[in-house]
Amino acid sequence: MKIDTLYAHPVKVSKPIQYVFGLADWRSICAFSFPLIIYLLTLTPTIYNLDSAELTVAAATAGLTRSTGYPLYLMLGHLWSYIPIGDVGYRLNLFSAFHGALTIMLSERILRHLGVESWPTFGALGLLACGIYFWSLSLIAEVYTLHTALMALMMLLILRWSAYPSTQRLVLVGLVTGLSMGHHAATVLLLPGAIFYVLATAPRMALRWRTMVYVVSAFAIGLSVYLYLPLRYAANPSFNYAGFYDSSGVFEPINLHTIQGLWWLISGQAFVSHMLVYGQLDLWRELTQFGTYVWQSCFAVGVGPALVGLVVLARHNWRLCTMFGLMFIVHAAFYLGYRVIDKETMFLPTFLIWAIWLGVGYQWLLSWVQDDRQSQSIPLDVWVLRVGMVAAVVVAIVWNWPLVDRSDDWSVRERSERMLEQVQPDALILGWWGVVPPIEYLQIVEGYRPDVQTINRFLIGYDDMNRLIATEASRRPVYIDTRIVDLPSHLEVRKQGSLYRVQPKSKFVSSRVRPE
Amino acid sequence: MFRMKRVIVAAAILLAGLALAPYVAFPSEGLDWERFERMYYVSSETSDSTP
Repeated sequence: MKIDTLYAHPVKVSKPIQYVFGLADWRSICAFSFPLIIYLLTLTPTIYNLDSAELTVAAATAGLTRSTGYPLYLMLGHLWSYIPIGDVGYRLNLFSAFHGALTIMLSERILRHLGVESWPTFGALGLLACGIYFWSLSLIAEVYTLHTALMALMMLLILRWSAYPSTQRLVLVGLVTGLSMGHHAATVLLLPGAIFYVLATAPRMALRWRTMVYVVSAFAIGLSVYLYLPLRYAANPSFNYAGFYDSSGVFEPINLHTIQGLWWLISGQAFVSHMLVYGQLDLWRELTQFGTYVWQSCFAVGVGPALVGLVVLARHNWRLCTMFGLMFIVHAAFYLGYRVIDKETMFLPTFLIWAIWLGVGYQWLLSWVQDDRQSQSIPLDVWVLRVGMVAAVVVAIVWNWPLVDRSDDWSVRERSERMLEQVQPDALILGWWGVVPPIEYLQIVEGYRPDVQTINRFLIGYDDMNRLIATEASRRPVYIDTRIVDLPSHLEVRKQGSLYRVQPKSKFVSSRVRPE
Repeated sequence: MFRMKRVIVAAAILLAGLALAPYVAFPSEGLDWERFERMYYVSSETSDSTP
């Protein structure tokens, strides 16, 4: 194939229904089913910890989660949780696997639109799907694969619009972009690239008043999924992470019926102190770390060809190259400056764009090796390269499989069950993300030990927590997941199983002298 | 016809990333959520740690 096919070229589509759903040919089916099978074989069988447990409970119970709200995830996840397979934890894990596979399928359409053939597509998207990060995040309930699926759909619709610019197609882009924003606020990081491409491709059409009104209206319709948050707030859901506990252990929800409250949640105000916090030296360290993530995510083999693909795209379609480049840079730049402990989970959109560059680079390499030979049969050297691309995917699968495989990981459920079994009736448990959300899953979703109150320490200030412990320790059994040092002198902390029991000192003394 | 020169260049591009292997290292563990969890306990004296 000639390299001049490496730009968005028209794809004739006859019926509107095919425009959206015309994805079911053999390439698309393979692109969806190949990763899905691998994800199913390695999927976490039940509830997992940290964000995963929180999102599972929030989706399954139609509850509310923390910033930025993720309303589309909660709505779709709630419907998905009724699928009668496994427990609810498994179902929401499957939700991630489905959207991981959907991302690969939509990315295959993007590469096809760019003139990339089957072999290089398999090589590029195989490395993405089986990269350590993308694969891992397709195995537990998380927001990231739905985000990449919507991002891929948005990019595909933009490419289709650029092939035949029309108001209707741009309206569809606006709608999906709004929906994507309604899922993950990080979609805003993709907008500079998308807006640039639209304005650089067909500025007159895009800047017509009528077009702008339609597109903005469609965007607003997509964005309206945020109304789910105040609607659920009105229902006073049993699971709500949009608020704080006071020192008496009473939950004070953020009022999502006010503009300020809603904005506080969806703009991520709870995390603002973690944004743009690094100095120059720290930023350099984060940048090199990001390079490591990219290198690992494409298993080293994808580094050189992706850079070739970037250059090829820049030479043949600078507008498209700029769109992808802006999306990549803006997304990476924001998260480089974001101080969180699980940062490596947040770069999937950049890995997706890297995979597109990789597909283009692979295609160019194959075309370059084949040159202009008109032979009927495919030359041996082209086959060698093809086999090399596929072999890289196979090696990545074999290498990463034991690292990501969670198909036998029941540890979070078992540990949470043990904790609930060990605590006294009417106990209060204070713990971080690894402890409380999985316990809340057992309580709220499965109805186990409703007498126990749990408080995520993220939702209560440190001083308030200490006051709460000081008050409650003499009234009821209080447990905490770490030994804390600022307790009043009349309290004592003892390890009990996986938790620490906080009690007045006299109680420990009396329990020591009490005969068995 | 086997175009050795081009195949070697293409293979070099394919394998270029491996040159960084001594500095970067292949993944040796998956996403370690338990490590993320433990990091809360390191800073558990403050209340501003977030996921």
